[in-house]
Amino acid sequence: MSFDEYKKALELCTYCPKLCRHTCPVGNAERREAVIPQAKMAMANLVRKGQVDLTTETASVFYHCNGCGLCGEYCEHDVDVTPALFAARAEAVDKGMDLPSMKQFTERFYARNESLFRELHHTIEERFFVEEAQVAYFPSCDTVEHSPRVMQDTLKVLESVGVDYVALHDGEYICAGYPFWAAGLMSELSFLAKEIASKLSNYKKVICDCPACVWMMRFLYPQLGAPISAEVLHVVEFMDNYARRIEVSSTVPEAFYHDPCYLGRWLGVFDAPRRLMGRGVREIREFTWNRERSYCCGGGGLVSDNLPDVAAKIAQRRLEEVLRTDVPMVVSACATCELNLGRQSGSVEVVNLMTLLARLL
Amino acid sequence: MSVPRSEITGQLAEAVGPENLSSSSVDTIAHALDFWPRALMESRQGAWPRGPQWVVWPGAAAEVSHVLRIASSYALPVIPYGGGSSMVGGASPRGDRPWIVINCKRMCNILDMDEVSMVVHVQSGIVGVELEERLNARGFSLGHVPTSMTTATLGGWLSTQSAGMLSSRYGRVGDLCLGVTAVLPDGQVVHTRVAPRRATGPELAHLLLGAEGTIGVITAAHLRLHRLPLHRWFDTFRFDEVAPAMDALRRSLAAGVRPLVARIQRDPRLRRQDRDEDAAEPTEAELALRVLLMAYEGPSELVEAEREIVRDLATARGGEPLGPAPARRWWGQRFAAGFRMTPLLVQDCLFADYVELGATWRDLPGLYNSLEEAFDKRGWRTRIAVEHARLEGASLGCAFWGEAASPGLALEAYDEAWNLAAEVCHAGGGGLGHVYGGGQHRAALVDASSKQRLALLTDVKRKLDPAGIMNPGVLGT
Repeated sequence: MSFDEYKKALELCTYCPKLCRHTCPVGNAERREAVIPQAKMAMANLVRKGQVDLTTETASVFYHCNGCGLCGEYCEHDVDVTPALFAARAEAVDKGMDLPSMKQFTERFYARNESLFRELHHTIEERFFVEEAQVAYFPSCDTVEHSPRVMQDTLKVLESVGVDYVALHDGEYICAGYPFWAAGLMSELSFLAKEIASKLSNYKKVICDCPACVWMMRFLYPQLGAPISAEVLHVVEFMDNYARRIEVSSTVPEAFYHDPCYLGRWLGVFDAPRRLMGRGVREIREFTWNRERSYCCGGGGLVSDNLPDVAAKIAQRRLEEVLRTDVPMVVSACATCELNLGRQSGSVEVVNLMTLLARLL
Repeated sequence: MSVPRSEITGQLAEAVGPENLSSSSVDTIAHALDFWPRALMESRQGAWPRGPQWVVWPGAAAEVSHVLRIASSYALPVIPYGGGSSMVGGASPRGDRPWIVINCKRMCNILDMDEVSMVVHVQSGIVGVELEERLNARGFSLGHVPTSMTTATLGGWLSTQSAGMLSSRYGRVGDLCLGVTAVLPDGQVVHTRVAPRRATGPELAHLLLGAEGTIGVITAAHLRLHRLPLHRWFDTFRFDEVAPAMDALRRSLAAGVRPLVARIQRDPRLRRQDRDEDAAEPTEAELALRVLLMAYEGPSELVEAEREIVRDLATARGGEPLGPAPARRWWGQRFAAGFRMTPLLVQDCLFADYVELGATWRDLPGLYNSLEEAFDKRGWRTRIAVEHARLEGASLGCAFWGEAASPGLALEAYDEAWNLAAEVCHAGGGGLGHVYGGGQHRAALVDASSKQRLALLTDVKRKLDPAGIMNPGVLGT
């Protein structure tokens, strides 16, 4: 969608008394007026209306957003800030006013993709790459890069419940393109989406361990003319059908569950991960900000790349509540959350749900 | 007096650290306006107003002191900035001289919590909801819940004498404040003494509370806490008109009832969005209906006694008990009101604002009717609620809106509406700005008695702020 198509949302935010300020992880971390959701949207609107020039400086605030969507959850007008600010980033790219750190993003994206492709084949035995499978497992880029263990654990848990018909997707592309969307590189995203969609449409079902990938494949790809005919599910949605079959040999007394933004708020999947977690955790502890109101880990929206200090503060804030207790573990279902929270968690273990279950089998 | 900008920039950087100083366009634009509807309406058409020359984020009173000494020496205006959600231009720019915004949000820590005495010592830049959540985690509540809960800071509340939805029970924020730390324009840091009642002269904190940053910058406060309640109770009564509802509420308070919420408003079933599409337009009689919404908290024995008193007084005046649901529903949506003005402000020919008038019970029914009639006659819409009820009187919160033929005429109508509200208010024995300050806007709308009060305040301000740097143009000082 073009920048102008967000006119209504941008106008409403410009004339709002900043009532969602408290929800913004970036705004809370920076405590800077210019980066609360209202101010970022107002800046985009002023640029759209020509009341402020689009420069690298004015465009910089568009990148101070995790894309978590919590502000929209609180908004009585149902304003969806993330796509509007990502469209503003696209506008900045078009006008050559994007962040200097975004230069050569596409080249770096594909170089990383190539390296991850090698890593994937290095980590997973070739027997799991089967072309004719009905169900394909599409691991996320952050999983392959930072938590490759999760792939093996997922396959182990699947095998334990008798699901042996899932194969690793052996495609050229490891990433579904969220970084392109967040960077405002829409034509690159569109190309990638079409390539991936044509391959994944060969399967009956696609399961993915990245909530943002699932959301994009289900909702954004069709808008880009790249619908996937296969049913796309997050791993926990798929595994939920087999939850009762999971037999663990030991359990963990208690652990917090962190709702990843895209799995919870964006896809509406709240109970499935808790049901699965309940197979191995005797008491699931809830954050005060949970489910629809879950607080971001800080990793989304390219914030962890462009503003690592801010991402660190966001994760610290999320973990404050855990650190006030003796609970030694936070469980999640998103590699990006595990990465960003894990960097700040100290003695608290941040673990993927599939890894936890595999460990307890 | 010329302004050596680079010299001042260097000095400010030294005061707060270069990372806590900005003159970038994004920061100055973000501080160019608050939520004053008039300024926002002007911005719909013309250019976005210019912002401050400098934004600083001090981390402590000592840094604020340093900044104010610099500002004083160059006679630069200073606007203390909390959430920037003032509806009266309290944080909006003015004048031609470059100014400094002191954004207080780095000062956002709880410094001490005395759980025995139930007193918290907290810095002023903390956003209200963050403070409340931190207190709740330890079993306490401030008991201050204004519509600005999620956007305004403690400093903003204290500086505007904010009154929240629970003010009938806990008072306005000044009633919760046991003492403040503030920085005066000459850089002097003052701490008002924190102790239970004393009789040693006027309370200095009261000079700073509600001063809207015209006397100094509040950097921290000691606040009274309350135990987080385990239960809340709700009741609703419907009356044929507003006067008996007011009478029932007044008598309830006089009888010793201390409700958490006491509010009279139009019957929510008549709200356009809550009615069936094919429902007939409401009749005159239906439009006159008012509901009294009550909420309570505390020990159940006390609450039961309070509820019985209110029930008896309400039903004796024709109030029909509707049960807890409507009041509970209002409670669930208590922050929604903050969103209602925005859709009106985005439309070029519409105007909207919120005026609140305070009056004693004797004058309140007359004032209510005069206000409603005056706006009705002009064809302007209103939604009036009786709020912040206390032993001696209450506030009329009046949201008004209307449409004009052009954006320019919308501004004229807006000014006319405010003049009308002020005229009705003064004639009816009320006072403007009952809830959250006067800002720039209401400074021009004061009555004769307020003029005398402002003249005295101006004398005090001249003594403390001889260069006139502190939030000039606000409050008429």
